[in-house]
Amino acid sequence: MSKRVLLVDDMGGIRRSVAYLLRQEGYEVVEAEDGAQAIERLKEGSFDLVLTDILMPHVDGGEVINRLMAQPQRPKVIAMSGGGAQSTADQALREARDKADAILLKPFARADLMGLVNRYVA
Amino acid sequence: MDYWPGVAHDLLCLNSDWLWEVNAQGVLTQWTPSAQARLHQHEPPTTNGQLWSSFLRADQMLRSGLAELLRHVKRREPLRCVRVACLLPHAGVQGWLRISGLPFYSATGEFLGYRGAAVNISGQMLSERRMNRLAAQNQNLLAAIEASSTLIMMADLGQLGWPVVYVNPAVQSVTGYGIHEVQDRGMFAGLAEPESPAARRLHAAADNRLEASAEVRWARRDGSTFWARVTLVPGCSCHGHCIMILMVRDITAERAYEQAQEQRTRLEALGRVAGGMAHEINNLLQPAQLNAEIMGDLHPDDGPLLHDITSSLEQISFIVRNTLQFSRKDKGPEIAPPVPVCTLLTERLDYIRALLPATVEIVREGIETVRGEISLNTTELTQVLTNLATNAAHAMKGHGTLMIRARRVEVDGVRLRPHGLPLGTYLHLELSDTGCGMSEAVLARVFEPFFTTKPVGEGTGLGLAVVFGLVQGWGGSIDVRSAPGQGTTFTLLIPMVGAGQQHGGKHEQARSIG
Repeated sequence: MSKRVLLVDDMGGIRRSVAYLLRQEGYEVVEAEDGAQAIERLKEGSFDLVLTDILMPHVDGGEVINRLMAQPQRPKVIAMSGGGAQSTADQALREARDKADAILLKPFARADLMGLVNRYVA
Repeated sequence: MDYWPGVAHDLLCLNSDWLWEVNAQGVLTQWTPSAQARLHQHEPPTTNGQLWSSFLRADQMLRSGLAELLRHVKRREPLRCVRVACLLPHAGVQGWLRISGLPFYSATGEFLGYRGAAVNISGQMLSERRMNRLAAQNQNLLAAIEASSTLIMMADLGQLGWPVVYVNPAVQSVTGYGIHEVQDRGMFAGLAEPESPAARRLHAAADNRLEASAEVRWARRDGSTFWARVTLVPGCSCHGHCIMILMVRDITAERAYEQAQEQRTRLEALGRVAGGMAHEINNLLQPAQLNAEIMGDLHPDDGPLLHDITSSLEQISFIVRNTLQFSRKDKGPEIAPPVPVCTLLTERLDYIRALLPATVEIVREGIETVRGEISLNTTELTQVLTNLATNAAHAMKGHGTLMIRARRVEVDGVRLRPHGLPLGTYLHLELSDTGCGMSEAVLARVFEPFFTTKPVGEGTGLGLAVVFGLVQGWGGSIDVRSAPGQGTTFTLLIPMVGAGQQHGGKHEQARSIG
């Protein structure tokens, strides 16, 4: 059975390209547009990996990560961040960095993405 | 014979001096009515029979007054104008008498007592006391004026040519001009730009005897100048002439501090903008990056075209990363273990040495001897030193001397605290080059991102912006001094790992970022 990945990002372009590459490598990818959707998807099924953006409208990635951390059996979490110096972004990035299993700094290349995903899910 | 005693009595009564007589026991036996009136005013003369010493007082103002009088009396010596404090009973206050007198004896030579005159010198003594107090006050004021680091001059506007009548020692110590030179040159001779609007304003104020204040450049004897706040205050001399007091305060340090603060504020604002933009751009670059790679798979024949896209994206990403570094205010995720400053600097400078052309001489001072440890990301330190050193080499067109000095300083809050840094121990690192230097206008913008004096295509204008961001990230500060043709000096303050203190460091663990 293929590994399931929940991909969370508010930018359609990022979701499409990342999902394309993951599917190409045989992963089953479920997409979510923001944190709220991600939480819904997490209720519906189990995942091996959550790949989530941090700064998103409504419910952000930090909140998603917090919820995941509270679960006894949780998927691996990789946070994606565009960085930035706005204090909220900095703060969110720091928190996510503390909790997530790994961080991918945008823009990342295919090799960065696949290397990390394969390491955590294989 | 009847005539004289009568006249003498009248004259005695008119006399303002008090005439007195005491017997051998020191008891007042006689004195003139005027003395009675003065001492008792309207009270009946009860003083007769009183010991004279009972209303004389020892007084600190006349340290020897009473003692001197008693000593003379003991030796039966004449009293010549001895000043003694006394109680003026009618007023209940202390007054002073100037007493003169001679001992007198019986026909057989027996000592009978003293007689003489006393003058009330209370008014004189009080005014003397006021004068002394004033003199002491003036002396203190003068001492303060003479000790002041502010240049203080006084010109007499009542005389032709406004001669300078006073200059304090600071004038000589700061400008190098002696008092006579200042007197020859006049009080406004120090104005380095006499035609500037500020200088004209000062002249006009003096013409109209008005108060004024202006920031101007003031000249030293050696031709150099400094920024000064000049204040004019008109006054009145003891001769009734109008005088003008001119005060000149060196505000170079304050101006530098203000400018640095302003620059910091501006850079912080720019940093916020840059940070926000970088975040957006990074997000937008993401699909472009991955899609370019995907397209490469799908259309292998278009490899070179797609390569152009990915290499452009890489460059954009590089610029954005640098901009982010400039705008970043906190340390990176890794906390480097503390290492001795001397080891780290020596090693890094060896690396820099290899990087610069051999025609640039690097002189190190204090690098090997500076004590203390520092906790820095080595890559960041290398980046800072490399950027500063290559800029210096560029400013020297490849030929010159780069002086690198290191020492340990305490930011103790006593002197100006640069950029409001927290108190503590800092590494003071100075890089001076002998290059072309910078104008004030360039200097003001030197840390701004995308500001460059290099030709288009030669510099991104990010080098010093990145240095600024990294140093800030370490919890330190960076300043620059320069003038055209006089080289450039960058001064860095980098927090050291002090005994039991941590400078804004974060306690995050180093983590893998993939």
